Amino acid sequence: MSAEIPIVFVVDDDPSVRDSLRRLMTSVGMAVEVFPTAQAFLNAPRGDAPGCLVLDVRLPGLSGLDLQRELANSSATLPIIFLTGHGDIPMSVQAMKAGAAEFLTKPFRGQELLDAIRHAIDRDRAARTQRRELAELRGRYDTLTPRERDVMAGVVAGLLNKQIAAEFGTTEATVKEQRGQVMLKMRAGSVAELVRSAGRIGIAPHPSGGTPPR
Amino acid sequence: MNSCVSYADGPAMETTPEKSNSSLEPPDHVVARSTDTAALRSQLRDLIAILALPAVWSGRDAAGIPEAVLEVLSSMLRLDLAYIRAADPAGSGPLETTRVQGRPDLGSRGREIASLLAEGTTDPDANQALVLPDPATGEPLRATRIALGLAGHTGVVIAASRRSSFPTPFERFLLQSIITQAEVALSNAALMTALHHALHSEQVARTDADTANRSKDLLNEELERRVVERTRQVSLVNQELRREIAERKRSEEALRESEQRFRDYAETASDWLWETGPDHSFTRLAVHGFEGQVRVGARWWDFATDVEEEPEKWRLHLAALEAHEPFRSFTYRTSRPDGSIAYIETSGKPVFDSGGRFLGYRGISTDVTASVGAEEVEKALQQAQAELARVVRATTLGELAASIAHEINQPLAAIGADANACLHWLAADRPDLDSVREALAAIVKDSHRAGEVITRIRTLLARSPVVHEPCDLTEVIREVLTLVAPEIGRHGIALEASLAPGLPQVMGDPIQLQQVLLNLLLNAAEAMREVAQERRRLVVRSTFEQREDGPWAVVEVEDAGVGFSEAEAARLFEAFYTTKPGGLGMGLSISRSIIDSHLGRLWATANPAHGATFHLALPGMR
Repeated sequence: MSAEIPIVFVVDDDPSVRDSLRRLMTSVGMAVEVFPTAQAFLNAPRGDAPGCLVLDVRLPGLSGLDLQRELANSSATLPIIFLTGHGDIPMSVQAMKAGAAEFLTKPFRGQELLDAIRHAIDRDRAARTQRRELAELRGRYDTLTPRERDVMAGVVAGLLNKQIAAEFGTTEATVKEQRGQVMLKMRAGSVAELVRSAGRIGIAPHPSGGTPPR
Repeated sequence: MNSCVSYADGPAMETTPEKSNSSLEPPDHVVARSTDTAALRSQLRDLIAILALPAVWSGRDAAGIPEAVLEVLSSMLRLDLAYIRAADPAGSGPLETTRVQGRPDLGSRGREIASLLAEGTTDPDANQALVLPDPATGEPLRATRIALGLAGHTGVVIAASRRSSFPTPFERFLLQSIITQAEVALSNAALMTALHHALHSEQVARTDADTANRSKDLLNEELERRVVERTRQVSLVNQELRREIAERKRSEEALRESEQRFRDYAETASDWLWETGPDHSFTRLAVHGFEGQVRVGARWWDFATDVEEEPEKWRLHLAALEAHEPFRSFTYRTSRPDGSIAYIETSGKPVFDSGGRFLGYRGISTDVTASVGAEEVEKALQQAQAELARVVRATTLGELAASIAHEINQPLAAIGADANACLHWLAADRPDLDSVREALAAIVKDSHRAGEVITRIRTLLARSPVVHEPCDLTEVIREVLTLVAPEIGRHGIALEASLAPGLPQVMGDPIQLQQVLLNLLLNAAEAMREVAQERRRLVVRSTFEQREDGPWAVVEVEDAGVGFSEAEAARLFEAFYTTKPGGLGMGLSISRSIIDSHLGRLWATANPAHGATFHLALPGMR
């Protein structure tokens, strides 16, 4: 999974800066793609590899902040490293509030930027892993029958089999069998693991807990 | 002839003696002594003889007549001495003859005596009896003298006798008659002589006349010509002389006046008059106020106090002196005897002798401390204004700080990234040199770019003197637009430039003109801060106008901002008037004074829809 080559996206309207950033990334073996405008970046097809976005906060047309908002609205979250000049403090604050990964003032140190990029990529990679795992869990959860989901909720809430059976008005043996299915489908080796998975996908530890938020 | 008639007239003969002498009455005397008939007969013979005299004398020449007269007188009147002097009708001088009875040898002596007598008695009324010594015996002689000719002017006759009765009235009558006849004869002789002379002369004259006349005419002509010529020459010479004299007088006068004038100048002016020798030391001096210091033998630089301070000025001056060139208004600093600073302005011209040898300089120096003082004040004022303009410029640039920093940081960021890239490549086992080269080229380019931005800013901030030079207004506009475009863009303003080609060059200081445009552009951007983004439009337009007084370059900066009210319009260009929060209020005031100093105009008009337009007009160079 982590074998995927990370890719760095650069959006800067200044060709000097853009090209120098491209050369800097290349020199450390990073894959890099550069764009003169936010729109160009949005229009370009992107793979699923981990990566980060190096973004000039001051861009003609769609600004850096606009792009950040745009990305946030789409599911494709990408860590953003903002590059700013002096006097852009209000913009920077806004960017950070909106979840910018890093905030570098021009002129930045090359190593500083590379470190920030690496860090962002690591975070992206982790986030991606997490997102994948979650999606997997959710997929597993999706395979559960409604009764199995209720049983799972009971288990996660720490109820005994007979308590669950009593609540649903079935036998303890039926619950036991259903519980086995849940453990199997959710690929949980233990109740603790199941509880953790349930927490990650946001299943309320209550028999009446509904569908997770997302 | 008439003499005959008068002598024939008896009564006339008798009346004349009566009138001249009352005691003479010959008829009575004759009648009373009728017995003396012999005497009467003698007297009649005498009278008849006298009547015959003219016939006897006629034909004689004048020179012989006096001799004949004396002969007649002597014999008729029995004279002891007779003398006659008569003018020679030929004109060669008086004829004189003397006759002494019985003694012809005494003629010369008698003449001498008679001459003396005659001289002493030229008075015509002196026909009276005289007593003369006898030239021969010395005994007294009774003499009478009678003038000869009309009014007695032609001569005199003297008759003398030993007889005591001499002259008797009859003798006097005879004497007079003879002399009258002699006069007639002499007169006739003179006439004859004159006639002969005239006849002869006429003949001679007639033969010569023609030649003479011809020669005379020629001579006259020539003479006339020469006279005319000579007269003309003389008149010319005179004229020339008169002119020259007048000229000399004038130049003398002028010289005197000139000398006096210079003396007056030297005495009254505060200027120094001086002369230097070939070694540039003073040889003559008329100095005011620096007497002790500036003296013969000294040189300028001996008492100047700025030689070390301004070596270049002095070097050039000395070079001019060595080249024997004239110099004007060379100003240097010195100190007065009391230690106060003075500025002396000096001008001089080289002096050469007739052979072209350099003798030194002659010139004038003036104490210009007062005017230098005024100039210093003026200079200080200008410096203060320039400094104010610079400060305002710096403030204006302060508004641009963010975008300027951005403009510098962009290339710096690029340089940093590229340098890092290079380090990474070079650290590899097999360095990617092509990439390194590419990065280095980019570094060079970006460092230039950053340098340009800094130069642009530094130029605007520099404490450089204001220099008016021919400058390209289009270039000035472009420079400012480059500087200000990022800032305009940062405000989300659309910037449009419409620059006329072939704008005339203007005389001006490019920095100050940039300052004015920068100020107008930033004001425009500021005015649009509060308006909707889609309305934010800034137009810079340059046009060329041919006016009566020549070409003008006009630049307009049009915004779509909040504009200005009528009340504001009046105060727009006032110092310290501002609508910007935190604004200094100096921008437009300084801008206008800058444009004024460029002989141009700066004014504002309100746009029909939104905002304002600022107009900047500068006279173009022809």
